[in-house]
Amino acid sequence: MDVLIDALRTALGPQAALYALAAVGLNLHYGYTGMLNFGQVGFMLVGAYGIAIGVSTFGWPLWAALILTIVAAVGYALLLGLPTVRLRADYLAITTLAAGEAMRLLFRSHSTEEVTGGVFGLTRFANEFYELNPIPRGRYGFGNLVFSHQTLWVMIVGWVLAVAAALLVWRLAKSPWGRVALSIREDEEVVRSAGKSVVSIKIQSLVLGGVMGAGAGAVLAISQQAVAPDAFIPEVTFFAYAAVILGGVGRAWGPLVGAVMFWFLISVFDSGIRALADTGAMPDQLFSADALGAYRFVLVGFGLMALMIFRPQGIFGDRNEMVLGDH
Amino acid sequence: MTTLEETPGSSKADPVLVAHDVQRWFGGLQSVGVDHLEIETGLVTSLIGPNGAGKTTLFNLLSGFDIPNSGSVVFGGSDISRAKPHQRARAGMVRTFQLTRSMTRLTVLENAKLAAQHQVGERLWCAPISALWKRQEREIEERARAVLATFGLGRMVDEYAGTLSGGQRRLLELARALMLEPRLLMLDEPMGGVNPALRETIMDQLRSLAAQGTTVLIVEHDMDMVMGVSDWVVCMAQGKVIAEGRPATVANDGAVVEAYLGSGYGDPLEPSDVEGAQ
Repeated sequence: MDVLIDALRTALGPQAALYALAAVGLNLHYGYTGMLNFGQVGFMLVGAYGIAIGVSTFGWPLWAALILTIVAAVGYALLLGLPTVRLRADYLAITTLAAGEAMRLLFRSHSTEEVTGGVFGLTRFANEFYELNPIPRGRYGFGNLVFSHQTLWVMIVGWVLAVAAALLVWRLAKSPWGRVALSIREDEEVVRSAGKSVVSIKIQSLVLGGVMGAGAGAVLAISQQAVAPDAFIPEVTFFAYAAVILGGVGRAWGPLVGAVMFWFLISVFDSGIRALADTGAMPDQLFSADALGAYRFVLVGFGLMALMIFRPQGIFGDRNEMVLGDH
Repeated sequence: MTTLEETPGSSKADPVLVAHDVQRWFGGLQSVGVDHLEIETGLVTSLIGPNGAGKTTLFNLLSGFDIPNSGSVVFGGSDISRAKPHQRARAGMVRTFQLTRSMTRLTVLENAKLAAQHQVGERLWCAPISALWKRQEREIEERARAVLATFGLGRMVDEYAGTLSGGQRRLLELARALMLEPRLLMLDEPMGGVNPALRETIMDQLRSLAAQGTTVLIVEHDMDMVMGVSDWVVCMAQGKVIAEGRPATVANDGAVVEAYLGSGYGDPLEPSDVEGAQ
């Protein structure tokens, strides 16, 4: 029972909310526009450090840091997008992946330490956010599933942002803009021959989804009151992809459900493996302390494989549409 | 038309499209080297020639999908040599593809609606507010349904385009092209993979388009079609325009026959040729 409570806490907590937000942006890129962005983590880094640097380094109020975050995310999207959107999807994937890593190394390097805090990052920049918390001090929840008023505040903001982003994507997908974006996913040449600018729609999609990623980064930074560069490893992008695929690629609400499922499963596997290790039934070499953390991802991998075999379209996807996707 | 000169690169009375010195090289191989070509307004012009003559390459160069090594293209009086493909399409120069292309995971109706121009809802900041584009969307949908119905796709509107047969995809491409209301319609092998019943539909559509005054440029291998719908025929071989004129004139042109059958045609095959090949 505790395993499920823990899993539920993780699946509804700020972590899942911010992954949901990042995944909604990624879904706009990949699911709706067909752009293989392997560096969503780069946008998250920009978002997290935008808040942290704005408040901690520059001493700005939170709203100013928020504006800096959005401007920086738009700038990063343009920097990344303008030279690469004309290229094929796989080149964009390589560029975004490398750019994400480059950002992490840049922000942890000695030369930028005065601004970014180097390897140790920055802390305590979200006080203003928590002062805005309208929820009275205390603990909230049912039975063992409780959150502190602070966590609850971040959670609510995180989920409101994620739902708002999904709502926007859903509206866009039903509009003529969405029709052009989906058509780009299907066949760029047709879109060109229909007199539409593929480049400008792709850039718009990249910027919008990137800003959502940056929002996720900002929620991450605020929820932990700390940022460190090594939180922004490439795996973060792939976890967000897992959420997109679980929920159903190109489904507006898919990433929200996908993120909840992903973190629920991670937590269940984690607790399950630990419980198994504690029984002593398994040899110690197999279940050393370092290995435990890795096993849950092995299990998630099996879970995703099973999903691809039995329900490749994800929870909300359409099987017929999936079959037609193979040209 | 009666006054048009039947020589390669001849000047026309009212050309919609003028290509001058258009060259395309792939390494050391010249794929297209058209000195001068004018397409007369209001006619159906067919571009014929043996395989590898450079017809599709010329098509790509004219529509902006490929960039020539040199040369200029003037469309409707303005130089579009540097215009991108979507800008040329917006200007009214609309093409289809030799291998049909469509958005397989969009419905037939959405495929057609995509091609409508000046859509307010395509602007990112207008898109989420449906009140701004609902009325226009309805008009576009009505027009799309009407165009699809003329191509016999009326009952398929809600199917995914990926479920259509090869011939139906040709019709969908044509319908999509017409949604742009082209000044010049460029069709790359519109009869490829189309069964005889659908061929008639396509021919009828082309004739009625021509009757309404749309200028049509067709690349086609099907000689029945070329002779049946063309007002003017341009023949290419090895990247050059070798003949142009009325269908009957071109069909009897010595250079054209030679290009199709090969210059060595008629010479008996010597046993030494076969040994040399081995």
